[in-house]
Amino acid sequence: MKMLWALTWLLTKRFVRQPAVLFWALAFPVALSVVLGMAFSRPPAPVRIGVMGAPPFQSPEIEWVLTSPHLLSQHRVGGHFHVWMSQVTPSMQLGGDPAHGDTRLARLLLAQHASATPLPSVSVQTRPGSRYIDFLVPGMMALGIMNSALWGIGYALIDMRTKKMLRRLLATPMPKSTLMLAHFLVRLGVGIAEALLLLAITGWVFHLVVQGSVVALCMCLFAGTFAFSGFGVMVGSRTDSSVVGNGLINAVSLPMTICSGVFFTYRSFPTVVANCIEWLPLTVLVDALRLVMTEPVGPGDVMVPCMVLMAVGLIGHGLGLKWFKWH
Amino acid sequence: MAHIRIDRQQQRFMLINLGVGRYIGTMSTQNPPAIDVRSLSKSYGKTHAVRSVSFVIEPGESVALLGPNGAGKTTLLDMIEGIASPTSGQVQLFGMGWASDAPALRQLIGLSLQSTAYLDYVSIGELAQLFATLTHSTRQRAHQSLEQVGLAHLSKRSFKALSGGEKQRFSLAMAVMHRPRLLLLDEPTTALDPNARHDCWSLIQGLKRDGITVLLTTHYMDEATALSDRIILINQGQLVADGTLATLLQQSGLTGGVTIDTAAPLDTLPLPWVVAPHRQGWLIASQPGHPDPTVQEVLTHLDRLSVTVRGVQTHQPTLDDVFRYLTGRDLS
Repeated sequence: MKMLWALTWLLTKRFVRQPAVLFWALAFPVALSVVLGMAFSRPPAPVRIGVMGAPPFQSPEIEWVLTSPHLLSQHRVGGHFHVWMSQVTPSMQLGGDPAHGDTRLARLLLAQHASATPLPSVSVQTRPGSRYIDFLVPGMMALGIMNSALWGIGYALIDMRTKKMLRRLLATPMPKSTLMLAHFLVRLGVGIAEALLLLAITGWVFHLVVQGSVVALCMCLFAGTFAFSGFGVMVGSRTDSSVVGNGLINAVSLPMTICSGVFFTYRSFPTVVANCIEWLPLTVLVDALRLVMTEPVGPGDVMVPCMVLMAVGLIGHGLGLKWFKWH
Repeated sequence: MAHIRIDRQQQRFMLINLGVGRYIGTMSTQNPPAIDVRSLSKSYGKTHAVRSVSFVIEPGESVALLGPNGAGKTTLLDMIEGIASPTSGQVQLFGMGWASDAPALRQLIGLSLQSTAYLDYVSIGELAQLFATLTHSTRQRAHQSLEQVGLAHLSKRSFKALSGGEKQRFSLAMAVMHRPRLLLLDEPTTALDPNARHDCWSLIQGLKRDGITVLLTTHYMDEATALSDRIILINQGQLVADGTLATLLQQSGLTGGVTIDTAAPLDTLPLPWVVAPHRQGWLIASQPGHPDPTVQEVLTHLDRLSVTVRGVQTHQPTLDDVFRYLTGRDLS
């Protein structure tokens, strides 16, 4: 236990003393989330409708833009509006491209206003979680865990082997399982720190909150770190070349980064492909984290994905330890 | 020419037998030897890195494993360290084997490698604390080890910021932190400047005085001479000779001689001495039990054989000469 604590503490100190590593592990995912969140999570803007003459009514959902028959083409091409009213009375006549979303929205808004019969009352159940930032943050958390484990464990082991540090450690009575466990604990700490920072910043900027249970969130973080630590140990178990290590890590991480639904939904892929992607470890983690972040779920709801991730981790650690060489 | 060749072969067998004799002679001792290597071989595919090497190192002995690059020194050390498994043969340290007693053995050995890069972004003081914990030593002992190698005042510095000599001293400090009974040193002074080399030598000599068994690999004969009581020469994976420097010189018959700088192939001429290739041309030495040839005698003989001599020097034989004499190769 003393050995584990000493090694974990030293590896943690080493991690926090590297500004570049801190930036890429903690600051970069947060910055990327904020930038993407700002770009894609703005509140819906009012529909701009060109009107010739006085606006027929006022609505917070409509922004009227004054135009005229001879300016219509110029305004439309200039992007001032995509929908216009060519006649206001006695009946409203709407112009626009049916392929553009604004046309459909404007038609619905005008129809609602023009309807003689008021719309039946509609109760709205508020459930946040549909913005892009709500989609993105769980993905960034999962991506951070994967990269942290693969680079922080896999590449670190290769580096230590190349520099003969592993061979030096072999001459001590420390078992290899202690070395792996220390690396795992450091990466778990980094994963939790990154998740907390991401939640704090996005909570402050975008009012993002965890809808599900915090225990369920912790379960996902632990299982995800364990699964990808297994990959890290496997990748770093034998290789003694940083170039090969680089290639191996990229071969594992890149396909999952692109396909596993971090930045966009993998349901856009053909069904057969999507059904396969669904079982990739990063997809399992992303989906579990997204469920906890956007739905009021408890630990029981993420038990299956967590068990899948733990099984992946067990296999990874088992094979990695079996294949591991010190020099 | 023929008689010289026979002499070389005889010498070689004599020297190898000397080593095996030591091994057989220690079989019945009560205290197990520090290192007991029996018919050790290691092959990588068709490459035979080590071929049936046997030797014994007694507790408290200091032995240099000497050979040119690629001779098999590091592979042999790897097997003694327990990080490579032999293809055949066995290694015992203090009567224990790696297969059954690895944790106990790791507590008994200290290891210093050539060019180990310890973790960066942590100070050597912190690294010393880590190694103290890993080897069941104390924080106090970690500090003492740094003091012992004169690095206590640099304990806040990172390993990367140390000079080459300081790095090697730090490596030694980590190796002896837990007061091991056997110290394995892999080329401890390679790439160090002369001052740093001598600093390291002083440290190792101090450890020897403390009674630690030392096995070091090197391809520097002066290092082997300065640090070891006994020398094991290996070449192309085979043990070529095993003995003290005096024994090796005596057994090789190279008690003195003359070096001749000439373009003529002296080893094909009928000379009444042992002839071996040398950096300065050829080394001419006496047969065992015969007096060294004088410069005058050699020059007279060569003159009779119409050999043009460009330069001549008297020569005191070294370990390098012994190695070259036995293998036809240079050590370095």
